[in-house]
Amino acid sequence: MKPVIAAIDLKAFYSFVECLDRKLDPFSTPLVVCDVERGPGTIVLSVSPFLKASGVPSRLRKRDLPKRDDIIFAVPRMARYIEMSAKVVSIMLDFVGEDDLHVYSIDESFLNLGPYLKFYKKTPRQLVRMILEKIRSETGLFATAGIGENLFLAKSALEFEGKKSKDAIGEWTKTDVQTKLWPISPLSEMWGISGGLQKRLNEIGIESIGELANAPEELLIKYFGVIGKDLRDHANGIDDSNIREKYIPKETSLSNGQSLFRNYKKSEMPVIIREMSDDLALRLRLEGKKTGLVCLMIGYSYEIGGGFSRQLSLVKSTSENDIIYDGLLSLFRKFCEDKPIRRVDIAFGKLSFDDVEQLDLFLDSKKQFGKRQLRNALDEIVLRFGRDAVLRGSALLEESNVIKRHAQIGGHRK
Amino acid sequence: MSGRGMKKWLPFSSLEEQKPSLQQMKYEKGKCPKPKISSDQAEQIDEQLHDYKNKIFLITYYEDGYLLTLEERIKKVDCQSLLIRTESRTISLKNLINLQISKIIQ
Repeated sequence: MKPVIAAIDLKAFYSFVECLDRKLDPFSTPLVVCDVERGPGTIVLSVSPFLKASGVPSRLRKRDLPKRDDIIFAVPRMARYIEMSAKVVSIMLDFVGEDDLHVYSIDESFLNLGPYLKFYKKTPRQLVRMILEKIRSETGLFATAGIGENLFLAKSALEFEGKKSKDAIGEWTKTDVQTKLWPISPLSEMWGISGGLQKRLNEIGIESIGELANAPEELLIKYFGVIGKDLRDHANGIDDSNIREKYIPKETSLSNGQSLFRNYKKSEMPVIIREMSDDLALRLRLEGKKTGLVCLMIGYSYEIGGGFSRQLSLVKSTSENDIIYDGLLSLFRKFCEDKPIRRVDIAFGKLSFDDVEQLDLFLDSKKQFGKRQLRNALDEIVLRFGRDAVLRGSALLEESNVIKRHAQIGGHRK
Repeated sequence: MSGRGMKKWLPFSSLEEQKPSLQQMKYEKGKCPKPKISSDQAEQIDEQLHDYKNKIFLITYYEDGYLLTLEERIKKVDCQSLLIRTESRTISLKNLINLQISKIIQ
C-alpha cells in the first residue's frame, strides 16, 4: 500500500500551553516562554502566535525581543509541556496504530495514514483535518500539518505550505518539488541542511535546491557520503525512509553537558564535574552498564572562546562514581588552562554490561564489596525519594548547581 | 547505495524525559475494562479450584487494566481471604477470569 504521510506540528506549542493555562487567547496575547531570571542572552523558548504575527521571529534571545511593556513572561514548565505532548500523541493513536506513528519531537509527529483511509472513508486531507480538529477540541491546541507520499515531502509541505495556509494543511507530491521546493532559498531552509552544510555545498558550486537536485550523484557522494545521496534525493522529493522500520540507535555512549550560568574559575570546577559525573554514573548503572572510557570537554568563556576535548581509557571498565570521577579529574587537571570556564560536557564510552565483576588482586575485596553495597543503597534511596534525597555536602557550596539542575528538564525548568 | 532511512529522522535526544511520559500514556491507553464472567464460567473456575493439585494451569487474570496469563501450578486456595497462591504470585479470586488445565502431573 502506498504510504500517505502526515507531519503534524503544534503551533507555538509552549506559549500556546501557557496562554491556555492562563485562560488567555494566544492570538491576542503578547506572551513569551523564557526564564526571566536568566540573563539577557537567554533563549526565548516560544513566542505566542500574536507576537509572531507582529513580526517577532520564533527563535530569538531575550535581549532581541521588541521593547514593549505588555509582554507576559512565562517561566518554562517542561513537565507540563511533556504532559500535554503525551495527550496529543494519545489522540493521534486514536487514529493510527503505534507502528504508523513516529514521534519526532515534543511538538511534532509523523503519521502514516495510508492504511486507514479506506476505514475512515476519507481523503488524506479530510482525515488530517479530523485529527487536527480532535486535537483542538480535546486540548485547545492548534496544530498544522503537511501531507506527502514520504516523510520528507510531508515535512516540507508542513514547513512551506501548512504553516501558512488557511486550513493549516499543506499537501505536496513529487511533481510539486520543481515549482514549490526548488525556488526556496537559501539552501539551509530545506530540512537536513545546516548552515555549515550549506557553506560546503556552496563551495562545490551548488547555490540552490534546483542545482542540488540536478547535481551528479557521484559528486555529492564523493563530498558528503551517504548524506550527499540523501540530500540529492530530498531535493527531488525522494525519501526512502519507512516509518514502520523503527530505527533504534545502539547506545554506545552516554553524555551530559551544561552551559554554566556564569563564568567559573578553574578551582571551582571539580565540584561541578563531580556532580555531573555522579548523575551520569547513576544513569549508567540504571542501564546496567559500565564504562571503559571517560571524556571531558571544556569550553572557555564566550569572550575567550576555545576549549578542549580529551578522553581517557580506564584500566578496567567500571560503574563506580569514584573511579570515573578520578579519571575525569585527571583529564581536567592535565589539560585545563587557567581561564574562565562556561561550558562542560562529559561522556562515557566503551559501554558494556555490568553483570560480572573482575576482582582486583591489589584491592581489598571486602572493602570493594562494602562500597558497592553502600552505593546500591544510595541509588535505591534516590530512585525511591527523588534525586535530591541524598546529596553530597558539596551541594551547599556556592559553586554547586546540582539542586538547580535536578529541578530542570533538558536545561529548562520543570 | 541506499540512503540513511529512518536513522535521519531520529527524534531529538535532548528530551529523553519525554520517553517515560509517552510510555505511561501508551500503558494507560492499552488498559481495558475488566471482562464480566458468566455464572457458567464462575462455576467452572470453582470446580477447577476444588481439585487443583498435581496440575499445571493456564491462569488468566485481570490486573491494572490488563488481562494476563500465567502457566503455573496453584499452591494454595485461600478461601478466607479469597486468594489463590501460585508459584510466583498471589491473585485475588475476584480477578480470576479463566482457568484451564494445561498439564496433569503424574
